[in-house]
Amino acid sequence: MLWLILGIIIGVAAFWVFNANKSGKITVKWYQWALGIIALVMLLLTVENYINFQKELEPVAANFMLVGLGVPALLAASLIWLIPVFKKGKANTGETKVSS
Amino acid sequence: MPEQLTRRQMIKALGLAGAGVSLAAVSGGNPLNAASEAIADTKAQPVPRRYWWVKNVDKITMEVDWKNYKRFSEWKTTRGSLKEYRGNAEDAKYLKLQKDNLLKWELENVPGYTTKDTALKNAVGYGRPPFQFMGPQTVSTPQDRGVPIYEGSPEESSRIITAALRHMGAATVGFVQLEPDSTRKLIYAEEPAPSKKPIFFENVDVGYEDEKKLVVPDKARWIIVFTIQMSTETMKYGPTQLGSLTTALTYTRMWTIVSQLHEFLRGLGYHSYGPSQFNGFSINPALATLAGLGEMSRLNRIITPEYGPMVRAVSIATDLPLAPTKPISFGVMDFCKDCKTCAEICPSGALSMDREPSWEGKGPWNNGGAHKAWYEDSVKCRNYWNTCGTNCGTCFSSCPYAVDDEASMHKIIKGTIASTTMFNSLLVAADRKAFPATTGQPMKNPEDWWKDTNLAEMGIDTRRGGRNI
Repeated sequence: MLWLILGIIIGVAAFWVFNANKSGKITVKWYQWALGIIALVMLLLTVENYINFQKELEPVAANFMLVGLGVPALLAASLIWLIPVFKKGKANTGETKVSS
Repeated sequence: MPEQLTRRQMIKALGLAGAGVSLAAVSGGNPLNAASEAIADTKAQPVPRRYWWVKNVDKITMEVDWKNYKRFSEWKTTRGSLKEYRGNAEDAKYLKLQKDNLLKWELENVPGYTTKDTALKNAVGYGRPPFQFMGPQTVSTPQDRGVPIYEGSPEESSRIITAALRHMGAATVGFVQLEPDSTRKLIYAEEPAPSKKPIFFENVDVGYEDEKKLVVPDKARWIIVFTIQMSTETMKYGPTQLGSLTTALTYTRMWTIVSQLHEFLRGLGYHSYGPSQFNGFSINPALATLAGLGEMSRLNRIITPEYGPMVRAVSIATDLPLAPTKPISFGVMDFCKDCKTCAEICPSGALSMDREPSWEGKGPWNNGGAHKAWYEDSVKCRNYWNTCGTNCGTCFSSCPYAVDDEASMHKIIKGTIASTTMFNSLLVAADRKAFPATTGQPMKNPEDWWKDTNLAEMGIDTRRGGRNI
């Protein structure tokens, strides 16, 4: 059931992003698609492995997965927003310098 | 977002949602796939399914010099000659130590050695039918029933034996054809002490056993070798009484399954020959390796793709023609060179720390000289068994392959090991963090085992292997 719910959420979210990008509401760059897919796959692997390591009665391994796979997944996901923000900040700094 | 979905957009949305479900199910197992595979299963399968990273190979991954390989006598192992190897005084000292330690720890309520642990370990060793060279011979034969004997192609026969054994409780099943110059040398020359009876091959129709020898007919040219799953979870409580109960329980099941297999073959109209005593017939890890059930490892035992080292193997010979199964390779021999976890964890230092396997045995208990292996110092191992009071098993439980395969990461890692040696060291380091083990200590608190009333039946997951792959 968990996977069905997750699948529906991901499907709806992907549908929205795809359409919003097409209609120009948002702009998704190629690297954001790549990062998004990597983060999503890593996040799903983290959830699946965490749950199943708990089923195996291996809590240490489950937590190891959260740190080893979950944290990089969140980092990858955060880069989707951070890279444009960083780029924008850099551009603004550059403009300021030119104008001064 | 459009206010109303067109049919085209609806289909697209469903497709994307479906893709999401599929992506999510990559690791979780897809019920639709399982259903469609179940329908497809009505087609006869020549061999059980294996993981994609298990490759069939023509030769086993361990080097064997068949020309110089000699049949070995079971009683030369430490099971039969330990007293001789360590001397009378030393032997008596260790036996006393075992008795004293077990009593002391039970009285002190040491976790894993308490009265409840001891009682359970002893209890699961009960109910073993006696091993008999030709089986119990109690069920009716086709002749008794007035019907012709079963006849089928070797492939069909292998398939029905596999299906029958799986239902009796075997994990994986393989077949080896006995050749006088090679594989037949894996049948012990002499059975265990105290009888030490020689095992001969003769050109007779039906084998027999008398006071002086055991005779296997030349026509019994096929070996059925199978593994029985042990509990990965319970073994992690070793080296305690609690941890060792899974070995005792697996042997109890093995005794029963061997007897049932003999009777099944008898019921089909064929003869079979197997151990007349515990481990009394053949070198089973070697036969299991030849049959493709696993690869030899630093443990000097097999590691299987499905259950890691957490199996016991046993074999019987039969005159029912069977189709041999091919050896496999999935990277174990190379991985063991980089790993050494079992050898480092071993409290007695019995396992080899050499990077490469060797031709030379560590003592007369090994059948060294004609096959390359990581030979173990069995006397050191046995001394520790007497010290901890049980059969230890920490080398098995600390092995990176000793895992339940619920989490997809296991399959990803095993697939990686099978494909490249590049990440071996990294994977060993990660395994030691994720599954920490300490020399001579249980990997988990034995008292916690008793708190969990939801453990799997017999501590094993019988869905693993075959259909679940």
